[in-house]
Amino acid sequence: MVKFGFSVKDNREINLDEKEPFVIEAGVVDVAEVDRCIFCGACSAVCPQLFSTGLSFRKQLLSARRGLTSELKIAAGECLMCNKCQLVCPRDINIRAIWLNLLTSNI
Amino acid sequence: MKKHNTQIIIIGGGLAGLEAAKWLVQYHYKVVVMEQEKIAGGHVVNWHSLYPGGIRGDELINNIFLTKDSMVQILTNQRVTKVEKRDNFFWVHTSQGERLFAEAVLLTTGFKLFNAALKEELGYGIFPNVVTSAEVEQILASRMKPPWQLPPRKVAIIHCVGSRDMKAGNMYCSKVCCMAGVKTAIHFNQQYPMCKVYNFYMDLRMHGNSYEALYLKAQTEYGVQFIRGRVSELSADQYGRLVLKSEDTLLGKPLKLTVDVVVLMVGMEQRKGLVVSDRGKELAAFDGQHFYEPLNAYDDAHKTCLPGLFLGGACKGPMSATEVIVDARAAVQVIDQYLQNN
Ligand code: SF4
Ligand code: SF4
Ligand code: SF4
Repeated sequence: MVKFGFSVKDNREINLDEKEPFVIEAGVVDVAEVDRCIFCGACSAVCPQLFSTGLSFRKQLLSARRGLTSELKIAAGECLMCNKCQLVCPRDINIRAIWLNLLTSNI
Repeated sequence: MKKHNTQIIIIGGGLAGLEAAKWLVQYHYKVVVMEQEKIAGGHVVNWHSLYPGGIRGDELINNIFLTKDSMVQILTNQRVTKVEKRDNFFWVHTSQGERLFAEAVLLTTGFKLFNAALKEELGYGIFPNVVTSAEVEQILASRMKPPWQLPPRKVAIIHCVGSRDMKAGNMYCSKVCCMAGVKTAIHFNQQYPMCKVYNFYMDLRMHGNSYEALYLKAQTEYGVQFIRGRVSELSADQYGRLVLKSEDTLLGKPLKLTVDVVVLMVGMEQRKGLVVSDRGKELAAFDGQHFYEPLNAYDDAHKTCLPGLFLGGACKGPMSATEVIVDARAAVQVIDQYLQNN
């Protein structure tokens, strides 16, 4: 195989014409609550796991909103349930509870 | 001084001009408002609702008319071509070749909307379902027939069209369109309850009291999706629906979305075509390339380099309706002070 020095990644386009992401349809998370998010990144900046595993609630929530949910369950497993994120969230989202719901749901 | 002999000419019969006229007659001046359209009221008359309270544009204008004194003379279909300063008075020339005398002139010429067809990539003038924010206001106010037949199920609202855009020649934020974009998203949901709205923004500028709350309401009550990214391409699919391309810049991924209607939040621009001269010399500050600059933006925000010539409202830069009213009222006080001392 010819090596070009770069490769093409899978699943790189967000296609909003497809149906709403299943986490939202299945009622796993409180939609009214996550709808408040303004994607400011305060939660991920304060998260101890961002530095080690790259966990970012902002990124995972936004991805789920755009139909990209493949990393969601793994991300939920990375959360330490320390609740630092809720303390800084300007829109008062209970992020820990959302991770916990995702972890215990069978999606 | 006999005030009622002192004539003030207000150029532009929009919200600013009418509001200033209303108050100047209370001070017993003789006021003439020159309006180039066949009715006074400016952009605001066509507005479905004005934030924050949601009052209809024509209602707001009517409120001014109700309280206005019969002393205000409104001359419609009068396009002013030139304002000429002589020793301590002005000649105001119209396109019909007439000349009116004034001791003070207030420019309330407002703004014009950015011509959306200049941003070809957004398809305005090519696809009928691409409409401007001003057209949507008229459609929602039932003053205009919508180009769509069926209730739209998906709508994209594109912010910053012709604003914050060096290539469009407009290096400023038009200030009100973020708010208006969020408001329009809510109105679409109210008018078409099955509708899903996506707002494409660069920054959301929800300045001031109650605007952030409206943004929250759009998110939580109406499920409006806010996508950070500038739409760079718009095309139609085989069913005539509109396909948008942008980057979701918060995720760093390309994004594709198909919608029925696209609304372009067009920015504000200075009007051209008015000449201001001082004893025969044309003043470059009024060439219409930029918004008019007052003496300074702080405590001389209504005076110009020409004593007796004043500025009010959105000819100085983008303003919301509430700001225009405040600014017009403040101009009245400055004009009165000038005429008292003259
Ligand atoms: S609760 Fe989880 S997501 Fe929130 S800061 Fe702690 S580890 Fe990070
Ligand atoms: S801190 Fe709150 S609002 Fe900001 S990105 Fe995180 S969840 Fe969203
Ligand atoms: S108010 Fe918002 S939409 Fe309007 S120009 Fe400014 S940033 Fe863009």
